[in-house]
Amino acid sequence: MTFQNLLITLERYWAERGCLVMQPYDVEVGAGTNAPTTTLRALGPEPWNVAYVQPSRRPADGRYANNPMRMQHYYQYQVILKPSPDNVVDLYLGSLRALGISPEEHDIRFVEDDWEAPPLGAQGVGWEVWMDGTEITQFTYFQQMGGVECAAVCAEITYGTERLCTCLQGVDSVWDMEWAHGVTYGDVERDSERQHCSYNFDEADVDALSRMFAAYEGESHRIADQGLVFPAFDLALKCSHLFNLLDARGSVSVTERAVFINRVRAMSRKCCLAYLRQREEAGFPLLRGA
Amino acid sequence: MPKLVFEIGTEEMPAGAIGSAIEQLRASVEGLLAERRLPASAVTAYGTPRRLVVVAEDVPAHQPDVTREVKGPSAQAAFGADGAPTGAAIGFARKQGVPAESLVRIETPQGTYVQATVVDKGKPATEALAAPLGAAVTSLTFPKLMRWGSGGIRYVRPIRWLLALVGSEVCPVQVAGITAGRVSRGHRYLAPDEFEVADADALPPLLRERFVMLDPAERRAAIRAQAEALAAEVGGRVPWDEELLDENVFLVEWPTALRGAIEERFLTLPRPVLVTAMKKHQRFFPVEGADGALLPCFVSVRNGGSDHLDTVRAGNERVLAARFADAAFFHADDQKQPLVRFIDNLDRLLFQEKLGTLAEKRRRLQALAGPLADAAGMSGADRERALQAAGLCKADLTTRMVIELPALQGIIGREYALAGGADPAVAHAIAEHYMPRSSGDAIPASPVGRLLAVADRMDTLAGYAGIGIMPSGSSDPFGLRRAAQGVVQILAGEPAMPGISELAILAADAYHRVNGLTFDVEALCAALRGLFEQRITGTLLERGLRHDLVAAALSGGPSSTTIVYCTMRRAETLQKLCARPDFVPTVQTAARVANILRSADSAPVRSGLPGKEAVLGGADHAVSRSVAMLETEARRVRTDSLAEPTEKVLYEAAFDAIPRVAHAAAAYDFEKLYGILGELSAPVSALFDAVMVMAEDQAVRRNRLALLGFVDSLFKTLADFTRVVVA
Repeated sequence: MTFQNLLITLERYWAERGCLVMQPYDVEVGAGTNAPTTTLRALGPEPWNVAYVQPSRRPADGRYANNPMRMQHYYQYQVILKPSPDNVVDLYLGSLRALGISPEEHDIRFVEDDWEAPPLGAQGVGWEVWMDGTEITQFTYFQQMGGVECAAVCAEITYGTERLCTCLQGVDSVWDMEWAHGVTYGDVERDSERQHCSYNFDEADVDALSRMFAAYEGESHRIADQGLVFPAFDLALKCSHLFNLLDARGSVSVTERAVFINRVRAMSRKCCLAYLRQREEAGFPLLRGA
Repeated sequence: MPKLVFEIGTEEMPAGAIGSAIEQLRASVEGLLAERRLPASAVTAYGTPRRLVVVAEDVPAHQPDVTREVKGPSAQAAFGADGAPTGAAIGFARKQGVPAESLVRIETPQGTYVQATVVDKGKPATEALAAPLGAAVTSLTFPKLMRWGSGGIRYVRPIRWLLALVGSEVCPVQVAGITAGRVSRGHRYLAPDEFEVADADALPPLLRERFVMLDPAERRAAIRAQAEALAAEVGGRVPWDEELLDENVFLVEWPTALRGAIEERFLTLPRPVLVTAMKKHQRFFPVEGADGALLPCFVSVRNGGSDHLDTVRAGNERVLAARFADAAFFHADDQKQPLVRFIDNLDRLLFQEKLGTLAEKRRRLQALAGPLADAAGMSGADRERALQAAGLCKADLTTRMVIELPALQGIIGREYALAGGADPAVAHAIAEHYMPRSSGDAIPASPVGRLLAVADRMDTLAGYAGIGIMPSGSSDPFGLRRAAQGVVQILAGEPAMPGISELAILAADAYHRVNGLTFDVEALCAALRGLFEQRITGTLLERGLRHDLVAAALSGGPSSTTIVYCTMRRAETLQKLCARPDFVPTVQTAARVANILRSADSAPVRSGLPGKEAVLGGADHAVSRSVAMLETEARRVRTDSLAEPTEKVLYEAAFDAIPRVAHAAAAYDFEKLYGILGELSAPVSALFDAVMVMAEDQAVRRNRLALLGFVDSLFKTLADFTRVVVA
């Protein structure tokens, strides 16, 4: 199973099970959860079933492409099923079968792992899914988003695509995994990974990043107050990524850290509340089919 | 009589929550059966990650009828002048479902009333149990609840099916939109299909055929036996960690253990690193040889049978090798610099928003260690070591190894300190200062470790109390109760350590010096006193001491602060003495003195907080302080006005007792103290027999109360005897 085929298989599997297949979101995010198609759509009672690849960035996790499993840039496969269907675990196991993984031939287990994202005011309950001891998926029932209790509970299934694919290919390092047609993940990503690590850890201009944070933050609040929720949320995501860069650069003290997180939370919470209000005013349009 | 079987099918529950849920369910069902007149001969509960099952033997298929009498309106209102039932009587009878002619008259203290005899017809068990079994499901408590789908119910994990059978009959329990039937499911992967269960007896064997071993005890025994056999094959044994074993028991429905290999090169890593990586990351068991050294293999437990075990083994080996490779990298990277260099990064770790960083906590521990050593009478090399260890004990928190495996805090500090050639006593104190890690854990073996463990916890407690954060109800997010419990466990064996208030004052002083924070010390000490009294009480009750004796010891005492060791010894002494024939009379005498003072509103005011100077000094100082305190009480008595012989005798006996009381208290010889105080019983009784304490003459009365106040202060050095319950 090549990396490419893994992604295509997941797209097809979830498309056939009623999901809208979305394209990756085009603002830097730390996880598929942060894309507005998850964060904002998790709010309110409307049904929402989507699946998408989300390229994700976590600057502090970079290892200059020297670690077999840790990178600052990777691809999550994100599935949102709202409200969570009764057979959600079986649906998930079906997706593993589609990838050629027979649960009875492996040791698939669900290990308690609750999830929290303070900058989003988000929390959920769920599991890490292990295959023969390796975590391959995060499975979460959202309980709260933007500090608001979820009216209908999403099941969020986040596949660690690189983990899963190295397991399937039986290789020890993500860099040796075949993307497709004999080209490896390393061939595609290694140079970019190294350069980003150099930038994130060594070269990023702290003052410039801090100024950008403040500028985006001001703009986010200004336009959120005008009801432009989606652009305001994009700017909040920009700030979140800038904070992650500053953190990787080692320039955030403990007290500043808490302040930054609170600033990002204030922006995203404002967006969440405004989005929920707008949907409510529109009479929750997607409830029509439910 | 039929069997009841009730199965709650869920998605995978957290391993740590299942054991308690099983016991709760068992107790709840046993109770509800008895309450519904359907008592079982035995109730047993089982559980796996995916189901909770309760089995009740010999449940009556039908509730027996019961007859009860219901009082109605007064006879006057119930019957007209002609003796015929009125509307009130007819209404009452209809409501009770009996004919109005069946009402009888009864005499009560309030007058004559009518009464209906109502027969509650028993219902079939399947009908009677549906509602209470549903309530039992939702009454179970879990550490954390969740919602799912669009439903409003909160539970540990989504409920997916219910099976409830009394014999062969379905009991239609309803929970979360699901109605119980006779359908169950087997192992998620090995027998995923739904299947019908004809009879309650059939469920356990049908589940076993479908790879579900219901009984946790059986799974536990199976894992143990399989793992031991696998270890024995390579001449090794498993050093059992019961907590890890329990976790594995509740991660699987059908356990199959397997042995995997570890590359030899990783065995050079410190053992705690290897064991913790296996346990915390993978839930694997280590294997050790006859010499106690780790062997290059591990045992893991798969949820399933033995087919394709090689695939699982290969995956387990690969993931563990990756973990160890990470650990080896962190270990090598950490060792590029000495432990002391890691201190530089402590300012990046927050201790508490208002209380600063770990760097500041470290400086406070350094500031606190010296005065605490002095107060506890620790000097010379050990005092030096305590200061050194205070400076180093938090350094490992910024090592990559501890960031990766937080459970290794302290242990990595010890390993790195030893590797860097530090004084072994300092290195061990670094690891020990986190002990006891839980209430069952041992306390630090070395005096330096104990001192640092107390300093670290008192710093945390004083800081949180200083900013007004204390545990409340079941909520203790910062582990303050556990911290206080740790201090109590350590101080229970430390006669030389100062009291809680003194410790708190020293800790608050360190906040002032390091952080420039000034706390309301009086409020802080009061808050900690409350917290510690709870922990001391809990500890002593667990040891089987009488509650009232513990309370008496806590509210009395020779000093104005709670000295843990002293309080516990006094409580134990009271427990030992309470069977003696002279105990009750002594208690009564002491209590009579205190009660007279209380009713005269002249109970002695206990001195406030000790000054900082009072902290210092050992037993001799304690004696002279006690003597001074008691003499102050004695001086309130105007001896030249003591006219009655019994007054004089009592005063002289009490005055004579001062140095002996002080010495016995300072030596913590409380049996002796009790003996000395017992000598006062006779003169006190004689005084009560001979004079009226509350005399008309104001001056006489005041002087007698002063005398009794003095005597009371002597009794109080052992305990507040008014708290003792005399049967």
